[in-house]
Amino acid sequence: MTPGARQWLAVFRREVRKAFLARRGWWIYLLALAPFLLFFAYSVQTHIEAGQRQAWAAEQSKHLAPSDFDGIHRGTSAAELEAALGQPARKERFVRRRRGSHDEIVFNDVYWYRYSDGSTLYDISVVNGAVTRIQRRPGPSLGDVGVLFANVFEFFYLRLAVFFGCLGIFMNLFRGELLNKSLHFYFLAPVPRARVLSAKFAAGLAAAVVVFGGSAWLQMFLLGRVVGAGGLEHTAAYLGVTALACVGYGAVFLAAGLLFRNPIVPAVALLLWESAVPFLPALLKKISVIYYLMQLCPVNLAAAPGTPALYALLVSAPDAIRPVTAIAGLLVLAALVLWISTRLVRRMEIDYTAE
Amino acid sequence: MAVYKQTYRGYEGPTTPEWSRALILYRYALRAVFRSKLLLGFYLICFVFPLVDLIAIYVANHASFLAGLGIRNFFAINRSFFYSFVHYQCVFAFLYTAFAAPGLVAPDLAHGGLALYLARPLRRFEYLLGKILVLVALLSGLTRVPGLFLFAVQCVMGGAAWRSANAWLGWSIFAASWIWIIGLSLLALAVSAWIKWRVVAGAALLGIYFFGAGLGGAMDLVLNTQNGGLLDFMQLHLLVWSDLFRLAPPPLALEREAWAVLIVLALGSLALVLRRVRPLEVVR
Amino acid sequence: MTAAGETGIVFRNVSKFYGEVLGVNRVNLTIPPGITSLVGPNGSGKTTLMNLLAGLVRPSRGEVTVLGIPPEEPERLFQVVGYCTQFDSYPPGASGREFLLATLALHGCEPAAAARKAQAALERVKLAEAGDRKIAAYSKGMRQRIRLAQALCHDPQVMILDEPLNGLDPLARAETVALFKQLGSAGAYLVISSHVLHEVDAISDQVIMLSNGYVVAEGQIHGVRAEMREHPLQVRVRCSHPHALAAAVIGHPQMLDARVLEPDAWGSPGLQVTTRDADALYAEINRLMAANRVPGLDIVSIAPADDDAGSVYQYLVGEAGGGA
Repeated sequence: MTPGARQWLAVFRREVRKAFLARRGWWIYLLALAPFLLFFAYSVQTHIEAGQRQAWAAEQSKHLAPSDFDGIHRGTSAAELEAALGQPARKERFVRRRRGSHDEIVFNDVYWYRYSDGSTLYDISVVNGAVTRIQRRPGPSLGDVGVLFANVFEFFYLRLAVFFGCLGIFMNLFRGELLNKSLHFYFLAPVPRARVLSAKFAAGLAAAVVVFGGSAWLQMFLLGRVVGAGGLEHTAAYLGVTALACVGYGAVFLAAGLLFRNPIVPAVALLLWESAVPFLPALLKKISVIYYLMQLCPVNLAAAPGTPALYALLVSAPDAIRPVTAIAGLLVLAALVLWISTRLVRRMEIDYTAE
Repeated sequence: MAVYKQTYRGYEGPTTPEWSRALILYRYALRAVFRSKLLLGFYLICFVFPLVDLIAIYVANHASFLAGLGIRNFFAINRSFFYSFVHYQCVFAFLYTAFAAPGLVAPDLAHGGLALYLARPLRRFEYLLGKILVLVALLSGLTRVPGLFLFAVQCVMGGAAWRSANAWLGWSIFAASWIWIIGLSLLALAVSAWIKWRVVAGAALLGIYFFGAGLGGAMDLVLNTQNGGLLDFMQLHLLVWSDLFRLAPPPLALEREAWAVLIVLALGSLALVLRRVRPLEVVR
Repeated sequence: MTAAGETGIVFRNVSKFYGEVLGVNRVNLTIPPGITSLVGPNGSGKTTLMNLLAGLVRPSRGEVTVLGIPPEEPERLFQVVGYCTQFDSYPPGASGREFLLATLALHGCEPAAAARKAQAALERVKLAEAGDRKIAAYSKGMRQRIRLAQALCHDPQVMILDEPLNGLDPLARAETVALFKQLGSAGAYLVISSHVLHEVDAISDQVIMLSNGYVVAEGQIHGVRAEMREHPLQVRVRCSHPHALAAAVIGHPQMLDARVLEPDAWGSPGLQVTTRDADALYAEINRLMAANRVPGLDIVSIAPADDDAGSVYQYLVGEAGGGA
C-alpha cells in the first residue's frame, strides 16, 4: 500500500469511528430510527386489526358484507344504524368536552360502533343519536403500504431525517473539529488537505449511508412483512435515492461547515430553498438536492386521488427527466460543491479563538 | 524572613444580600445577549408584528373611517385575534430563542466556567435562576408585555361593553404567554446544557421544532390517528391555548393530553438541566 | 541577519494582519540550525510566526520557506517539520500511545515502524510507563510531554515548539532542555517560544525578540547586547576595595558611572560600573592591578550585569511598551 493510501485510510478510519461512535452523535441514530419505530407501531397495529377483523365479525349480531354499509352516512340515526347493521362487536362511549355557543363547557357523549365485514373494520361515531363519521380500516395491501412508505419517505424521511442527519454528520467533519480545537492535527501532518477532505467526506458518507440506508431497508422489510411479502417494491430504488441524498446533502453541508460558523444559517436557508423548489425557475431548481431526488422516487404521490394541492406540489417530481440524467445531475452538483470545498480547505486558516 | 506579622485580613465589609446574587448573573448575561448587534436587531424586528396589530386595533375600532373608504366588515378584535397574536409572536420568540439561548449555559460548560461560578457563594439554583431570568425577560418582552399592552389598548378603544365581555382575555394572554415562556426557557436551557457547542445547540432547538412537527405528521399518516400533534412543540401549545382562549378545539380534543405532555416536557427539561449543571466533571 | 542560506528557515518581508489587528509586520529572518528562541510579551507575534511557519495561517504579504519548502505544500513540509502547539486538545478517549500511532499513520508509516517510533518517542519524553493511559487522565505536565512526543515522533529536521516547557516540573524541564540541546547540536532546527528568560539564556544559540509584531532584535544575545550602544554596559566587579577601585576607574573616558554595591550573599562588597566599552574597562582594571595602583585590591569576580536575555528584553521590549 502506498503511503498516500495509508494516510487516506488513517484519516478515513478515524473519521468513521467518530461518525459511528461519537457520544454526541446518538441523536442521528434516533432520527434514522424514528420512522422505523413508527412502522413498527404500524405493524403491531395492523396485526391487532387483522385479529379484530375476524373476532368482530364473529362477535357482532349480523354477518355483514361491504354493501351493507352503503346505506350508512352522516346523519343516519342510531336506531337506523342498528336496524341496518345489527348490534356491533364493540360499542364504546367517550365523553368529549367542547365549548358551547356561550363559552360554557359542554359534555357530549360520543359512541363508537365497531363492525367488521371480515376484510374491513368499520368505526362509526354517533353523537346525539346521529352518525357523524364513518371510518374504514381495510387490511393493507402491498400497494397500500408502498404508498404509505412513499409518503413517509418523500415528505418526512428525505426532507427531515436524512436532511438533519447529514447536517449533523457532515458539518461536524470540519466545524466540529474547529470547535474541538483538533483540526490542526490533520493540517500539521504531511497529508494534502484535499486528501483529508476526501477521506472525511467518504467517512461521513459511509456513516450516513449505513445509518439511513440501513434504516430505510429495515422500514421496507418491516412493511413487506406486514403484508406477507419479503419486502417492498422498488427497494433498490429507495436505497439508491437514500444514498444519493446522503451524497448531495453531505457535499452541501460539508461546504457549509467550511463557510459558516453557525449551522442554523445554512440549514434554514437550504430548508426554505428546497421547499420553494416547485416555484423556482428551471435553472434555479437544478441547484437543489431535492429536485434530483424527487425525479428518482419510484412512486408518483402527486397523482394519488385526494392529494392536497400544496402537498402534491412538494412531493411531485418538478420536471419529468430521465433517472440517468437526474443521477448524473446530482453527482455533478455534489462534485462541484466538493471541488469548491477543496479550494476552501486549501486556503483555510486555523484560528480557534474566533470559534 | 519569618512570616509572623499576619497582618493580612480578608474583606470584612458589608455584602450584598444573598437573594440578589442571581440577579448579578442575570444582568451580565442580558448584557452579553444584547452586545450582539445581530441579536439586538432580531429582537427589534420581532416587534414589527405587534406594531402591525396595534395599527389593526386602531383601524378596527374606527370603523366609520373605514366605512368612508367603502370598507365594511373589517375583522373583529376578538379572542381569535389575540390567539393569532400569541401564536405568531411565539413563533418569532422561538426563532429568537434558538439564537440567543444557547449562549447562556453552553459556553460555561464548554470552557470550564461553571466550576468558577459554583466555587463562589452561589448555589446551583441561583445560577440557573439567573440564567432563566434572562430568557423570561426576553420572552416576556416579546410575548406577554406586547400582548397585554395590545389588550389594554383594545380595552380603552373598545369601550365598556367590549371590556366587560372580554375581560377574561387578559388572563388568557397572560397565562398563554407564561406557559410558552416557561416551557421554551426550560427546553432551551436543557439543550444549551447538554450540547456544549453554542451553535449546535441552536440548530438542535430548531431541529426539535421542525422534526417534531414532521414526526407528528408522519405518525398521523402511518397510524391513522390525530395524536401526532402531541409531538409537535407548537401544536401542543396551540391545543392548550385554544382552551385558554375558549376557541373550538380540533375534532379530537387533546387539551388534557397536551397539558400532560407540556408538564412532562418542562419537568424533563428541568431534570436534564440539573443533571448537567454540576460543579465538577469526572473524566473517565 | 545570519548567513544560513536558502536551506534554512526563511521569512522574506512577511506581514500578517488579522483584519485590522497586526500579527507580525515586515519580518525578514533566516533561522539557522540550532536552538532559536522566540521571546516577547503576550501578543507580540510569537505564535503567529510559528503558525506562519507551519502553514496554519497564510501571510498577508511576503513569503515563508522552510528548508526550501513553502508551507502551502504540507505533504512535503511536515515530513521535515514537527509542531508542538499550545492547544491542549486530543482525540477523545485516546491513550498516549494511540495518539502517537495515529500521528504516525498520518505520516504514512507502516504499523510496525509506527509502533517502534511511538515507543521511542514515549521513552524520549519519559512517558513510556504512562503511554497506555488515556490522555484525559494525564496531568498538565504529562499532556505537555505527549504533545512534545507527537512533534518529535517522526524525527523531523525542524521542530517548532510553542512554550514546550509549560507545566513541566523542574526535573522534567531539565530533561527536556537536555533533549533540546542534544537535538540542536545534532543539526536540527529548533524554534522555541518561551517566557522563561534565564532558560532562554541557558539553551539558546540565538534569540529573536518580538514586540508588537515587529522583530526588535535577532542573533546571539551577546552580539545583540553589543549592538545596543544607546544602553551602556553594566559590569559588576566583586572586590575587596570598591571605593578605591571606583576612584581609580572613574576618570577613564569610557567609564560613565560607578556605583558601590551592597555586599553579596558571601559578604563580598562590589562595584557596578557603567561603561561604553567593556573591553576598555577590563584592560583598565588589568593595568591597575599590574601597576598596583590600588594597594590590597583583591578581585573576586568581573562579569557583565546586563548581558543576558532578561536585560536585553527589558531594554528593547520593556521600553517599547510590551505587548497586550
